[in-house]
Amino acid sequence: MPPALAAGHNDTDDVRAAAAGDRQAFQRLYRLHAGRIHGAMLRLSGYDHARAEDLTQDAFVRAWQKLDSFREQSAFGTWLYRLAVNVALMDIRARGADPVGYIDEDSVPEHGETPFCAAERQELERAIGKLPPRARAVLVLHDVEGWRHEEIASELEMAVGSSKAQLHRARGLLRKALGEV
Amino acid sequence: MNEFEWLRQMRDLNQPAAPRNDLWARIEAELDAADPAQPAAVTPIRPARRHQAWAVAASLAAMFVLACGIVWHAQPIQSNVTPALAAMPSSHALPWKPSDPRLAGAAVELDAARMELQQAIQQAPDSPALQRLLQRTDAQQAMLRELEKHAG
Repeated sequence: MPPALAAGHNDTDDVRAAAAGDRQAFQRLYRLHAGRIHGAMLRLSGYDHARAEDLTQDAFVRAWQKLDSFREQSAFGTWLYRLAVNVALMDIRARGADPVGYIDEDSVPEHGETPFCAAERQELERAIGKLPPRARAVLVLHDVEGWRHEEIASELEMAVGSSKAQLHRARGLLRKALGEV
Repeated sequence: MNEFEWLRQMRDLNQPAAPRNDLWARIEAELDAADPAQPAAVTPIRPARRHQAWAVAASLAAMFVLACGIVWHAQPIQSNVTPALAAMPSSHALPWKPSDPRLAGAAVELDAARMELQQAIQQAPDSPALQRLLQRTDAQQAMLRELEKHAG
């Protein structure tokens, strides 16, 4: 799930103003939430910065268009985050990502270095970026974002068992890429 | 590495990341291109559109009664209602509850439609369309009464 905003921050007024058509209020919401949304887009796009920016832009445009459907039953940040993840997952689906094989497991580079615990963060991100799109989406949503398999399966239109299998495979590929296997 | 350590490492990746470029200008341009008006603002309904809404309501009631008529194989009934009469409260406007429960729903719909049309006519007394709709509603109420007779 998305990390919480700074304690005490209240964006309710800006959300209501934006829903009434106030662009400046929406810009303030963008400034407040862009980092968190872009972070998620970056992870789901495999650390492809250009694509992550496109997805972030698309997410905010859709948020503006759907603001009147936001019922304040949850925090705006949570609603926006969920909408943005949907945008990223739709992008994965639209690209027709092969749920079985995107890269050959044997093509994942082996590392003779120390295992995962010593790997640099950048190295880890690069390895995640090389995962097949769906496997990466499952891994990021489950292991990084903290989603449950039921939620992932629902969003990715797959069986819960498939989500678990994709996670197992993604972890295996990642460990192999990091030289842990 | 154990499962706990793995998850800890992975969760550490869950950090905000600012876009390399400020996306606001792009977002705003796309909003302008997609929808130059205020998209989320509620547009107030103009009076003319209210009349349209009433007309739609009356038409829906008319379609419902027509369907009832087909089911009951009723004979077509001529209406004697005139525009002058229609503008005034008539006996048709009085609440009428058919004894046959199958007709009760249609009667309620028609009563409501007639009342709304009368309110609309008060605001636009020269509207021939509203007068015609009221006439038609009265005729449908008359038809309903005939149907009740046939139904026994």
